Amino acid sequence: MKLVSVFSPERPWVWLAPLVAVLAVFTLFPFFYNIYLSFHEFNSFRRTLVFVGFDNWKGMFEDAKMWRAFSVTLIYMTVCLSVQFVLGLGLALLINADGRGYHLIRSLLLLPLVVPPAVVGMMFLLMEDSQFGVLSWMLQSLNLIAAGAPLLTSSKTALVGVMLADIWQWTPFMVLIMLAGLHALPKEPFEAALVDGARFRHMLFHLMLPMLRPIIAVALLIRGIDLFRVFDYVFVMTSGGPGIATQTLSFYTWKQSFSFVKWGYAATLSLFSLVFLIVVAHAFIRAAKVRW
Amino acid sequence: MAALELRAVSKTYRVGDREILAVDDLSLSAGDGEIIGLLGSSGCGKTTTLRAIAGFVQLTAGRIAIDGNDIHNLPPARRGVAMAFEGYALYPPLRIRENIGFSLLRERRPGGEIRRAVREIAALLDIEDILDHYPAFASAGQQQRTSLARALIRRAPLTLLDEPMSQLDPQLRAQVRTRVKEYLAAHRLSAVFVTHDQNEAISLADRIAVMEQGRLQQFGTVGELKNRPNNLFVAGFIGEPPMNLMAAEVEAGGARVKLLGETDNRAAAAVGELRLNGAAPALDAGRAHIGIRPHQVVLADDAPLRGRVISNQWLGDQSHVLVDLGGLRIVVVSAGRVRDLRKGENIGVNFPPDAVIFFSAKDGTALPRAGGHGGE
Ligand SMILES: Nc1ncnc2c1ncn2[C@@H]1O[C@H](COP(=O)(O)OP(=O)(O)OP(=O)(O)O)[C@@H](O)[C@H]1O
Ligand SMILES: [Mg+2]
Repeated sequence: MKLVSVFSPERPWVWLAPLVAVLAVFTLFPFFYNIYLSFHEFNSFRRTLVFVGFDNWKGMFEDAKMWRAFSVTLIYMTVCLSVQFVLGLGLALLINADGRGYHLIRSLLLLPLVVPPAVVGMMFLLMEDSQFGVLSWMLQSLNLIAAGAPLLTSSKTALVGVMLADIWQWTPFMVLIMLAGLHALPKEPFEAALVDGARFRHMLFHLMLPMLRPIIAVALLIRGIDLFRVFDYVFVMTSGGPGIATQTLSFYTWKQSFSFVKWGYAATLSLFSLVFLIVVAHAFIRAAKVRW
Repeated sequence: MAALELRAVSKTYRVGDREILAVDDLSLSAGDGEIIGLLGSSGCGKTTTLRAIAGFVQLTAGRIAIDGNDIHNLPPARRGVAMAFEGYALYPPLRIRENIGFSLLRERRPGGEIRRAVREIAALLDIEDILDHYPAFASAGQQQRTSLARALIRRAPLTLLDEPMSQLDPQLRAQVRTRVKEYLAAHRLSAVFVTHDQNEAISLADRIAVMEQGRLQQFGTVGELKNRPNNLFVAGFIGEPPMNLMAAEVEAGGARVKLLGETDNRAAAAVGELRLNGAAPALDAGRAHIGIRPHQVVLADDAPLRGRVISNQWLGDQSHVLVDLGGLRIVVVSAGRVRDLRKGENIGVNFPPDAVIFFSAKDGTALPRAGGHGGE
């Protein structure tokens, strides 16, 4: 058989094989192995996997720590998403101008995105130090927190402390997407609204936001999924503490797997996250009428 | 309900290092309740002028006043103008109904009043059946009428319409035109509208401003534009078919005029001669351009100026006869059917002295007649 005929359009498998192989090894196999794992548990005495049926799943729904981690994750996701969206849109509206200097501002705004999240976590860990952290000092000067109050080591404020890092790093991403959306809007309807006597808030709520809806929906979706999986900031800044105040679902999962060697339970938790994300994302896509 | 005045308005766009003079020293004033048509070819600065009045174009020079108050530095919302945009500029997230009522809602008018006003204006423009649609699902003509309705419902002191009927079919256009005219008159609204279509300008406007390359060529009533054009451009632009224009040599005293051919063809030998009984203006050099409207040319078997028929078109109510006077082609419009004039036939044409208009050969401006009376 000649080489040319092997790579002919009639044999699509030859072309697809490399991709399918990569997918099978790195995506499909782990996925199915994860399902397999969730019905087993590692037994450290026998040094082997033992079949446990639905024990992991049943246990998960009765695990108070898991629900606590789940609600911490939801709070984290909701607060960060809201703040990043509102700030992102607001900043985008402010710098969506053609004047001199705006180009520079737009470029500078992207800087946080190039810093690795773990490094951002370290930075904020230092900046939020109650003794010599600049952020703590600023919040104290503004009377937002008491002098010497530990931001990250108090269970009341630790989650907010972690969120600050996330918001600092990811708001520019929202700004970027909102700027692209604003840029693509036609100018004329807004001119018409001006002659019709509309104020800024009318234009924002009646025209701009509805016209931006598809792009807002995609931004919220991407960011929301990302926020649900938050791990790096928590790992670097608080390790889930104090206590379990900042323990998110992905951090809890990681702990089950790598600290407690409960591979089966960790697999169950990760599958739960996956199912939850798929269901919520799907509902969101329907509600927001996003068309792919 | 408002008088408009533009004084020496200029607008230069800067694109990179290129400068585009879109409006050049434009002055015109419109009285209270008057409807003004801006007529001109594509790219002559009509939209720029209108957007300058609305406040979306920063003037390079000049002033704009409404009722005697300078408004050219006010934001659009404070100028008291309503506008229908060339590209409709509808609000995509709002239904047609909400699009039309948007301005009334901003004025905090009661809901019942808004509904009534929207229904009334929608009936006027025949878009009642699509009031609950979104703009994206309306046809271009429906979108355009929505944008027209949105401007008219305001009953603003000054209404600006940028090619408000360009997307409508001829029947609908004629119907909408009369209804809009009645509406504007009934509410004593002043309006400035832009159009390419001289029929539209003629039937809707009280006075027409003809523009070309950013400059105002003439501002006047249809009668003035047709019978006393300011220059060759207006003469050739207004009227359907346009005025016959030709180069000529006027004899001292103005008794006789030699026709030399087309306006851009100066070398040609004389085509023929006209006797104008001293109506021609006194000219130093003798060279001029003359013009005559197609329907004022008389076909006569015994006329001294002779030519051959090139085509004869019967349009149902009038004939367009194209006659070749030996290198110079003129159109003759005859109201009655010109019987059996066939291609190639020899025919005489007569230019009534009163109907002939003279233009300077140098710059194309109209010249006053020796007799001092125009041909109204
Ligand atoms: N925003 C702009 N920037 C640069 N040049 C412009 C701009 N708007 C218009 N022009 C130029 O100014 C001139 C006049 O444009 P304008 O839109 O006023 O023409 P118009 O008479 O409305 O034409 P049309 O009948 O085709 O709508 C054109 O040469 C055009 O290219
Ligand atoms: Mg235009």
